[in-house]
Amino acid sequence: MKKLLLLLMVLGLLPLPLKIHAAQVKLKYIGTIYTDAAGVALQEPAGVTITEDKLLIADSGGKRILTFIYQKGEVRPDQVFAVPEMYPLMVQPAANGDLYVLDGRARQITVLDAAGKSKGKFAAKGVPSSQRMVPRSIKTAPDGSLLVLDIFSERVLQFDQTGNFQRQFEFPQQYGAIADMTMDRAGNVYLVDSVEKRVYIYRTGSDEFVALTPNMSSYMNFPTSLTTDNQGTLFLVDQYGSGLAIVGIDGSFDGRRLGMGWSDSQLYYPEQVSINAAGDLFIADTKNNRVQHFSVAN
Amino acid sequence: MKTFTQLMIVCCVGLIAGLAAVADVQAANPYNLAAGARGKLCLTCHEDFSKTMQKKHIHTPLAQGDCTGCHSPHAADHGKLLAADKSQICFSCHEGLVPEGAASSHLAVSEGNCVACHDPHSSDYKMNLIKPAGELCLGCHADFGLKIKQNKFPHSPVSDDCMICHTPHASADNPNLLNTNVPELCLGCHDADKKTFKSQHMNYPVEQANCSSCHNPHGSSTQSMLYDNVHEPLSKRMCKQCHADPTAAQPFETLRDGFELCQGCHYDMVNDTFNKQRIHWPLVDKTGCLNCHSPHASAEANLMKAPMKQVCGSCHGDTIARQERSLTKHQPINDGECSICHDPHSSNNAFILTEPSNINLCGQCHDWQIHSTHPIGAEVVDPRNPNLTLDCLSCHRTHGTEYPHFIYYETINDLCVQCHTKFRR
Repeated sequence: MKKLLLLLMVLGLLPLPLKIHAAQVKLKYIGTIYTDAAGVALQEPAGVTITEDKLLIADSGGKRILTFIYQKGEVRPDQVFAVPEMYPLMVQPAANGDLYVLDGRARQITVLDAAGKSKGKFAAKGVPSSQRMVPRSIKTAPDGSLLVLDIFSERVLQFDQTGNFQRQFEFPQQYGAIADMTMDRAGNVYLVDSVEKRVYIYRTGSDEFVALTPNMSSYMNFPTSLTTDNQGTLFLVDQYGSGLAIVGIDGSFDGRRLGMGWSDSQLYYPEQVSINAAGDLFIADTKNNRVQHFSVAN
Repeated sequence: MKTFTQLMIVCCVGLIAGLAAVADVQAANPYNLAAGARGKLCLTCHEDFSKTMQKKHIHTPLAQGDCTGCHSPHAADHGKLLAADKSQICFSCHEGLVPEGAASSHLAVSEGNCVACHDPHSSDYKMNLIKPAGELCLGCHADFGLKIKQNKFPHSPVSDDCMICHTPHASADNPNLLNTNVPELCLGCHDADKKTFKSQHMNYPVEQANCSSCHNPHGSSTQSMLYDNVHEPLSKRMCKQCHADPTAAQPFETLRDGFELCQGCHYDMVNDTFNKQRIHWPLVDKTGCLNCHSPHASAEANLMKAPMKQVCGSCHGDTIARQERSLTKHQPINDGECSICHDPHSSNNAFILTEPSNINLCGQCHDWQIHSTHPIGAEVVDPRNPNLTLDCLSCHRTHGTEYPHFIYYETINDLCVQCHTKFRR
C-alpha cells in the first residue's frame, strides 16, 4: 500500500517540472543575417530551416536559396542557388543532400540537388486520393521523411525519401485556416490554425487531430508557422502580431517573446521559425528582409 | 380568590396574544412604512406618471404599485435611482431570455439595452414596446427599411411582422434570430410538393437546401426574389454546369472541388491569379473561391458572400479590430474597401498589395509631399535596418494603432528618435 501511495505521489509530481520548464524559456539574441557572403541583401525571406549542420534560407524576393554552414552555434555563408523561375517560400533538406523547395508561384515542391540544380517537381507516388495536392508547407520529419501540408485535400501527407507515400493525417473536422505543421521526435504531428489561433495534435498511435490548445486569440493575432524543440515546447510565429508565442507541451500558453520593430531582435511580419536540437532558433523576419538567430535557454 | 386567578390568566394570555400581534405587524412592516410607500406614494410627487398609468400596457411592478421593484427609494449607485445597473436590472426578473450557448442573440439584449425596444413603465403597444413592432425594428435596421421600400419583389411577411420569421431576444438553435432554421421556416408557408415549385427549381430537391443561398428573404428587385446579383449559371437555370444531376444520389454535390470548379468558366481570371508570386491561400484550399464568394446569388457586388469588411474580417478579425480601436481611422478600411490596397486573389507585391511601392499606393489618395517632406524612397536607407529603405510604413501602421495618425509610438518625438537617436532624452 505504501509503495502504491509513493508511486501515485511521484506520478502526481511528474507534470510539475514540465510546467516549470515551459515558464522558463528564455530567448537570447545571437545575431542577424542580412546578406549572403557577397553582400547581396536578403529580400523578403519567407523560409528558414536549421538542422544539425546547416542553415537554409528561402530568399523569396531574391529568388534564391541560401545555405550556411552551422557549427557550434555559429553560422557562416556557404552556397547561393538562384531559382529565377520560382518564388521560394520554404526549403527543407532531404536525407540524400537534395533540397526540397516550396515554390509559391507554382504551388509545387521542386527538388534541387546538392549543387542547386533543379531535379524537377517532387514526384509523389502512391497518394491514395487522386485529388489535387496544394502544398502550403513542407517539413522534413525527424526520420528524414517529407511531410506535406496539403490544404486542397485537407491532410498532411508523409512520403519516404524516394517520394513513396507512407501515410496521411486528415485535418480536424472543424478548423479555420491551417497554415503550417511540424512533427516532434516522438512522431506527434502538430497543426497551427491561423484563424482559430489554435494548435492541433495528432498523437502517435491515435487516428485523428484533436485540439491541443484552446482558441488563443487573446495572445496572438495570426500565427502562421510552428516548430518544436527537444522538450516538446512549441514556438509559433505570430505573423501579423510580429512576435513569437510559446506553448507548453500540455498546450498551455507560456507567453510571448520579441515584438514589432525594425532593429535587431525585433520582428516585422515574420513568416517562419525553425529550431534545432542545440536550441538555436532562427526566424525568417520577412518584411525586415533578414533572418534572425536566437538561442533558447531553459 | 379563584375568580382573581382566572382573571389573571385571561389577562396574561391576552397580553401575550397582543404582543404577538404587534410583533407580526412589525415583521410585515419593519420600517414602519406609510401606506403605499412602495409605489402609490411615489405618484404623489411624480405627477407626470398619471399619463403613464393611463396607457394600455403597464409594467407589472408599476401596476402593482411597486416602484421599489426597480428603484431604490433613498439612494443608489445607478442612474434614475435604479437598484442595479440598467443593463442588468431587467434580468433580475426576466431570466433566461438568452439561452446558454444561444446560436444567435439580439445585440440590444446582449448589451442589456432593453429600453431600446421596451418602455419600462407603460406603453400603448403590446409587450410594452415603444413603437409598433415593424416600425420599431426598422428604427435600428434602417438600411433594411430603405431596401424593402425599393424592392420590386417584396416578401409579404416582411411588411406584415418581422416576428413571423424572427424571435426578438435570442434563438437557442438558429442563426440570425430565426424562429426555425431554413428551409423548415420557409416550408411553413411554401409548398414544396407543388408542380411549379419543382419545375422552377429544375427538379432539384431544394426543400432540403438553404433557400437563402439564392433568395433574399427580405425581398429584392430581381424576379423570384433572387438576390440582386445572380451568378449566370443560376439565371440561365444551368444548375448542372456545377452540380450533379437532380436524380443523382447526391444531387447538390459539385462536379469538382474548390477553384477547379470555377476555373472551367473563369479560366483567364484563375490563370492570371495563379501566375503571381503571392497567392491568397484560401483561394486554393478545399473551399476555394467560396471562402469569399456566394456561388448562386448575393446582395453584394461580385457575388461576395457578405460586405467585404465582414468577409475579410472573418479571417483577419485582428486587423479589423485594430482599426476599430485605432484613434485615427483609415478610410478604405472603415468603408470596407480592403481591395483598394490589397488584391484579394494574388499579387507579386508584399502584403498582396495592388502596387509594388507602398509610397505610390498611399500616394493615390495622400499627397505625401504636402503632408510631410521627410525623405522617403528607394535611396533612403532605414537607419534601424540596412536592408530597408524608408517608406510610409516606416512610420505608419495602415490598419491603425492606439496612437493618432496611426504612428507606432505614443508621441511624434518617440517616433522620430527611433532613427534620430542622438535626440533621445
